[in-house]
Amino acid sequence: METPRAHDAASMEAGAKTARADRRCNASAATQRADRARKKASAPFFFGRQAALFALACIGIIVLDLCLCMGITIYDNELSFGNGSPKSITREIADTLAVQENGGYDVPEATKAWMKEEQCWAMLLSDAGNPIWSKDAPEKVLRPYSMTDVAVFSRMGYLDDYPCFVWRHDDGLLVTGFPKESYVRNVIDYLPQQSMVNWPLYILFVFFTDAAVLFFVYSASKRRVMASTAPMIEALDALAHEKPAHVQLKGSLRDVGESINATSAIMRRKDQARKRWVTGVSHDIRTPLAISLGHAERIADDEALDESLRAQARIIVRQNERIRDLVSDLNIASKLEYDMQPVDRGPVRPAKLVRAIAADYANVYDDGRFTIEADVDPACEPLAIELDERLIERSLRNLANNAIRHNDAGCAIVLSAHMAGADVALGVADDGAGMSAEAVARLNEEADAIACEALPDRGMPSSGPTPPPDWAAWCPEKAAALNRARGGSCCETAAESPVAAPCGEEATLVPKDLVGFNEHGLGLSLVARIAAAHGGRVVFSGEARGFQALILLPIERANDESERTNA
Amino acid sequence: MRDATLKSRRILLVDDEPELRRMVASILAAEGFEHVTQAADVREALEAFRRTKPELALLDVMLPDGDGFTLCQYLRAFDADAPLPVIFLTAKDETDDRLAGLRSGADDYVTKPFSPQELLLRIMAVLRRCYPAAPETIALASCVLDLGNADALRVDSGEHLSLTVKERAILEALARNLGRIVTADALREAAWGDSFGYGQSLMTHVRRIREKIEADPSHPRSLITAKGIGYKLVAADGR
Repeated sequence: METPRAHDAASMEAGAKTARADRRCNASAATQRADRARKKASAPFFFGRQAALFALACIGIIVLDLCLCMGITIYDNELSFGNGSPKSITREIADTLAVQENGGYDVPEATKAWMKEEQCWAMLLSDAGNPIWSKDAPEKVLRPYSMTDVAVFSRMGYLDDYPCFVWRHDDGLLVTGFPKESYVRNVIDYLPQQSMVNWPLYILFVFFTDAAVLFFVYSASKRRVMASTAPMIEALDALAHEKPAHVQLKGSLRDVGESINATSAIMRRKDQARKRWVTGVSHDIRTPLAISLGHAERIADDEALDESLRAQARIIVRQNERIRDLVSDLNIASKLEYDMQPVDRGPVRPAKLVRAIAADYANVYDDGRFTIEADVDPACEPLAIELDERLIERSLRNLANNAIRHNDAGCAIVLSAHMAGADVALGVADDGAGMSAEAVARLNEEADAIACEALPDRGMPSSGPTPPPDWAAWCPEKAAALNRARGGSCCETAAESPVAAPCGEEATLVPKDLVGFNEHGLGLSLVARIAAAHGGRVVFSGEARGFQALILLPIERANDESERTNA
Repeated sequence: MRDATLKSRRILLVDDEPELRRMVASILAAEGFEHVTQAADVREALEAFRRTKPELALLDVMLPDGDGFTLCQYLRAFDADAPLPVIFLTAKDETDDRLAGLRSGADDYVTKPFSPQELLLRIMAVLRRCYPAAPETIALASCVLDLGNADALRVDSGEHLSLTVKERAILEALARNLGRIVTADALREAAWGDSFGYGQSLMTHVRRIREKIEADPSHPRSLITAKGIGYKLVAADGR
């Protein structure tokens, strides 16, 4: 039997490089967002940026104001002098008022109609101040006017409370009047010449003072929001990773902060309840399992008993051991999922650990079916890094158990410890049944997703967790076989969807979720989670013959984490 | 002979689960342990302790009227000169629980569910450590090892070959796990007190040991290499 060598140095190096590249690719979206928010809120960057923005806004406002002024001027001009304005009517009357053949004055019918429409009256005063023509003028205004009277109503704009307008006519002064309270006269006093010269400066002074006050208020408000953004992003990211979060926000974001804290508290309570449940169940199952395992093993070892009975007892022992491993995996999974500090780091020598596990398996499986070896890189011998020894041991045991479980006929298993660039690669390789390239790719995809999700400095992919593929699409042969076994001929569509049981039968144990990690129980998933909890990842490889799993653990990061924890 | 002596030691088994007690007691009885006293709680354990003066205690942690850690401290403090060896048998497998157990003075900590074989090996290991006896002789394929006298008697020539201190330490570690692979790390620790380094020295010592105990050192039958892992000492009877 060909002995499976754990990856040669080149392939392992390549694996590690890929892993590092992936880690870089997945570099912390959340941390980057939080850092970006912090940078934006930092004083020099913030004020520089905000001042530039504010200056731009001011220029924009000035341009807008100019446009508005122009518009208003045009509108006002139109209102005052345009068609229909009192001045335009007055001018029109003056222009059209002419001496008739009979020696009297009159205006055209169109002007009369217009005057009627505008409720306008008019009179023409001679140079001596006597009315020489009028149209619709109130009786009491038809009187002689002295120069003083003319000067007063021209200046004040009112004649007997009628808003009035004047226009020069060849034969005198044309006065038009409109209904009382229809127009308001704006009397502007004289201003000193110097004041008029200084006016633009005054306007600029007021504008810049207002702008400075506005900038201060705007900056203070915006900076407070920006300063609250980074903790909010971190808190929301922690919640997205199902980790506890606590923020203390003030002002308008206070309610948001309280909602985040309340959500976190609810999640924490649920997590604790789940953890207590898993711990309680796993604790309670251990004693009956010990009794069952003990009795079964005694029967299996009793040479005086019938061989078939002993064979059955061995099956019970194997299944009990699987339950035992499952309970242990569930506990660790629960710890990784819900504990605040799931990784209990201490100095570990990977070479020693790998040899100890290999020795244990070699001693247990000494019947010749399985060949267990350890392959330790000499460069790995002196290496001691900060790891959770129990978790890493559990990972390697899960991988070894996986190799044994999937190779009933026996195989060669190599546990390895190699240096792979900045990582240490702990691996378990076998030369057994192996699996398809698609299945290996799927495992690697899920391992990547777990590595991304689990670490605080990596962001969850924007697409979210990797969902399992459709079971029927993933395993068409199995799906078809299942369908046939269920009498699928009457319901052909069931082959496309194993969820829908044929002939209206309620589907129960449909393996639609048994894809990727789920296809291999909790074990491989847990290995990926443990690697991720140490800042590393798992790489699976192997096709047709043999299967290999490499746990890549960054050496520097492991030691840094430990120093941080100790600090 | 030595195992028989160890198996005559008095054992106190404390667990509140009667079926588990019966199962462990029957395993011990089948293995030749003659003096096993059972107790269901702290009160019964103290009574049994005073009555039987056990030489090893197997304690559960969660007992109806107290906890095993406190009981362990009490039992071990009873005779300060010869503290009672204690092995915990418990369903609590958190690191903190293990540490609490070892801090209370326990010699080993076995979590449920355990294999009977594993339990027996651990019990024997603790008994050997706590009640050391003169090393017995081990019959190998080509020689008889007398570790007490650091001597290897060649079967073919009748020649007595003395073992060096390191060779004896290595063989003792292997003999304690007769028929089982012992890692190179454990052998280095046994010989040099440190599992790191001494890789070449270990190989040199193994070669010298083979020259003394094997008829054909190139094809060893007693001191077998487990590739990449360590070594295994195999007795003449295949153990």
